[in-house]
Amino acid sequence: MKIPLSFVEKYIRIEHTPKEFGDIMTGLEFMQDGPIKEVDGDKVIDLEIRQNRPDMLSVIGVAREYAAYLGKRLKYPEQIIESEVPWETPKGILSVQSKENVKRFCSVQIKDIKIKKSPDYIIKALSAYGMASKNNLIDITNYVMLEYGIPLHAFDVNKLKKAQGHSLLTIRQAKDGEIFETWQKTKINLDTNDLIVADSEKPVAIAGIIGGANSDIDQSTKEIILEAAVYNHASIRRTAIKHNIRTEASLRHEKFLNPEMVEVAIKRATYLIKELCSGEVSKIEDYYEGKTPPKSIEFNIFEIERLGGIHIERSEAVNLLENLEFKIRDQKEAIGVNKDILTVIVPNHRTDVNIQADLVEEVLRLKGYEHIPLIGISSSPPDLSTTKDLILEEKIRDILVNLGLYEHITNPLVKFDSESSSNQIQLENPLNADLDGLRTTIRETLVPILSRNSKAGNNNVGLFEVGKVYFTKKKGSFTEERRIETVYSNDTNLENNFRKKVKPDFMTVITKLGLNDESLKYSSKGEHLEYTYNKKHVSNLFQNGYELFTETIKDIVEIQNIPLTSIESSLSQRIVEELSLVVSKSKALGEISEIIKSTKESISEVEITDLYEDVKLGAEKISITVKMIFEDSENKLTKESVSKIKENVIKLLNKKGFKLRES
Amino acid sequence: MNKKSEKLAIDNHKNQFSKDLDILDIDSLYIKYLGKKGIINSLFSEIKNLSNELKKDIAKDLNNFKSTVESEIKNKKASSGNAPKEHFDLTYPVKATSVGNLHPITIVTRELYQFFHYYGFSVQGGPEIEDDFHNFEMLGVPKDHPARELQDTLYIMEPEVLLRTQTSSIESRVLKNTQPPIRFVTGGKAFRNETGSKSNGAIFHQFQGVCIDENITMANLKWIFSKSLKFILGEDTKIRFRAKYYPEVEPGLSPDIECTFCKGDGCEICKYRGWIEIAGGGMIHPNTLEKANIDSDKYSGFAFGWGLDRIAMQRFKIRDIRLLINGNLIYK
Repeated sequence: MKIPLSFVEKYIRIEHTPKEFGDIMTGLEFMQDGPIKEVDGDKVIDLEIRQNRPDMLSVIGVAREYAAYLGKRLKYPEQIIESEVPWETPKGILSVQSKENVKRFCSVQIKDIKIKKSPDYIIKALSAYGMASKNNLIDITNYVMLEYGIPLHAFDVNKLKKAQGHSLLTIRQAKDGEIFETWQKTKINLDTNDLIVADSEKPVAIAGIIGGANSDIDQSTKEIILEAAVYNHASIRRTAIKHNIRTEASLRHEKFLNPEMVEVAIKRATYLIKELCSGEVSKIEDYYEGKTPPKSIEFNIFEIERLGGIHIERSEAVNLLENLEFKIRDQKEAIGVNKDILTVIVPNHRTDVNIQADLVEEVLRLKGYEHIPLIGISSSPPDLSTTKDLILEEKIRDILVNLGLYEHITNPLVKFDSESSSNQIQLENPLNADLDGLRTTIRETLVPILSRNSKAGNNNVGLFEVGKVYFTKKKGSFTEERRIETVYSNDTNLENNFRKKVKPDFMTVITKLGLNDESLKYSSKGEHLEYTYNKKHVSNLFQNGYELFTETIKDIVEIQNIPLTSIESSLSQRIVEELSLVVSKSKALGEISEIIKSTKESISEVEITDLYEDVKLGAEKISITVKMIFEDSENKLTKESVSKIKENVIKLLNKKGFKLRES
Repeated sequence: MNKKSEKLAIDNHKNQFSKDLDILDIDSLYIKYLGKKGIINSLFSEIKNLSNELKKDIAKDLNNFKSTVESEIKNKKASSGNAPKEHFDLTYPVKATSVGNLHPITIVTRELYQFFHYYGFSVQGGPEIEDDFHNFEMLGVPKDHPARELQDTLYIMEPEVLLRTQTSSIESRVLKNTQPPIRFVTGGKAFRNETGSKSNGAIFHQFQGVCIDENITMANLKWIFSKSLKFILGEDTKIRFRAKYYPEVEPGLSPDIECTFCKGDGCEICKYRGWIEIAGGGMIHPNTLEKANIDSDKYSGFAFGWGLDRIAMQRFKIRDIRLLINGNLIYK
């Protein structure tokens, strides 16, 4: 909200520099937004007003807070005095049909008005706020809206269609398909959810949002109806969002306005119209059902200390509340009441104050949050309950970083692909048509980062991300899973990189988690290998990376039992043997370790140490060297026992098509 | 001479050498053992007098002794500073070894987890696909509430299924399932249907903390904010506290830190405020506590949320929030 400081000074003298004024408002809950600007020699300060304080979308609201800070009263502007208005309210002006959406509707009829240019002070005030001057009447409605935060609207009576037995203005729901043209000449297709102000034939305004071209004030206007109202904020908000019309009026009507404030605003506007446009004004016609007495809150001042952590004397609390125009009901008559409980009457403009905690904030923010001390939490903490998957993820992050991988976080929003994946989730209201779906793998959003790295000279990198993937299993049912996924660059040789980096890294992760070849089963799924543990899907291994399903791993791995390293093996007997084999190129070499491990003999490691093609071996054949490490912690291995095992291994391998090379 | 006595003589020389090695300087050692008229040469000259049968073994022994002497003298040379040595260029230009890296968000999150763990806060997680109740309703923002305007929502199925707009949704879930005392923190993604800018991402990371017990006050909240902000951003971080409205708390509080880019003078990054709004918090609204069946007359609690991205930006001097998730962070 842009506040011209000279406008504020009409109601209270500013005793601080503009910068100090900004700091004071910031401390009070209204953060200065952007630098203080100079417009036509006036300082204009922009304050952030949150949704709870529509009263602060006004200059008087700001002046009132400043006055409270100073402990002074502000001078409210002059209003018309109803009793001095001779013209009785004309009959049949108003008919309110949508009673559930209208809290109050005040109107005044004014005739013989003179439309002309506004006086300079009004033009200047509007321009400092950022509004263009139109004519004295429209400017007055805007000026009073800036003063009080209550929007007003004027209709040219001579432009309204009249009919016998029909009110001049009807506040009703629009009909489906009813067309309305705004004063900006935009055509809006209305429906029954939209609240409108209509003449006998057609809408003349969308209530609380925007007026129409068909009843606009212009140079020829002689007679008007001026109205100010409070509607059901939800109805206004929905209509404004639906038709995407956000105006100064809707900005305020979407929030909780107090119907009491309407009368104040229309009397002020009528005063100014009489002064600046001359004309004869009528008394107010007032539709106001469901008027309630001012809110009153029983306030135990101990709540200030219980929630605020600072002791404030009763007298000081009363003083601070009164500075903010709260009234404390005199307790003298009720002898025996707890003196610490105050009956606090909330001023009309404060629709945000409803409970004791609200009053605690009022006292504290005016006192200043800087006075609240810093005190440590004295009670003992509850048992720790950090979830296991989070602990596991941190461990895996460390392993991957140790392996030299870079962590990235990528945007999980991707282009929805209606063709290929039936289980992808699509967004209903994407910001961008290219980001209208949720990813089903992390790899898809991680892979593009490889090329960015390579452009930056990082050619041989592995990247990983810890995050979520999302699926819809059946209509209306959505799930998400946490994953850790990796991708590696392969600008050299894909297969070589797989053997030298990707799979060894993968095995390291698995081993470091206390899982191993024996506990994991793999099966080929075409493009990748799927690893399972007791039939639970643990991981997928691809040519250029792997996926880890943390949600299943957390159920398998005992975090407290993850082995750091095997201490025994370093002390045990260790014999290394090698085999040279000739195999067909298309063979899955993983079978070799499967076969060797299946002997259940004391062979702890199987590794392919050499692999080459040689035409001499025959077409489509390769030669490999397999290293086997025999280990026994009880030193029971002998030359004879090892060679016996080796012979058996050779026999088993031979059976599966892995022939010993004839040297 | 027989083999045994000759061998004994070599062993004697060996013993003497190991003593001399400590006593004599390098030049003297060289002259005594390896010089033209040195011990080893004289021993070699004696070999020719031996029987053929012994020659081979003794020669082998003597050669071993010679190489021991040579290497020991060389070692002594290398370990003595003033001695001339082989050229070893320590100034040789190299590229630093590449190691892995955690994402800046992870780094700050971990540090915060560590800090809060010390004060008895556990870590909790929760879903990113949320329902309206946990994301809004329970946190004081029923449908059509003006405060919905603060958070433009990405919907999967409007109005009930959405991508969480704040990690406070996790607070909704934990509170519903737990009775005080409660202390936890959580971190994760939040999604908004907004166009991103340098300082506001449409997808960003929040860090959230909740503490509920008897006698928890804003003084405790100020304390934990002050401790944790200084822990993560440095002891000399300047912090101010001011009132701010958040629908899920009452009273509401927001700490700002002095902008480290402009040192409080005002710049584009701090929107010319000189201060950066880094967090929000307050006392959990009694309505939220009551919705979770927590007695708001007996218990009070604070909740706070931080923008992790902004913390990471401050920490690592990253000027554009979008860099954190658009893949343009290049680690070197």
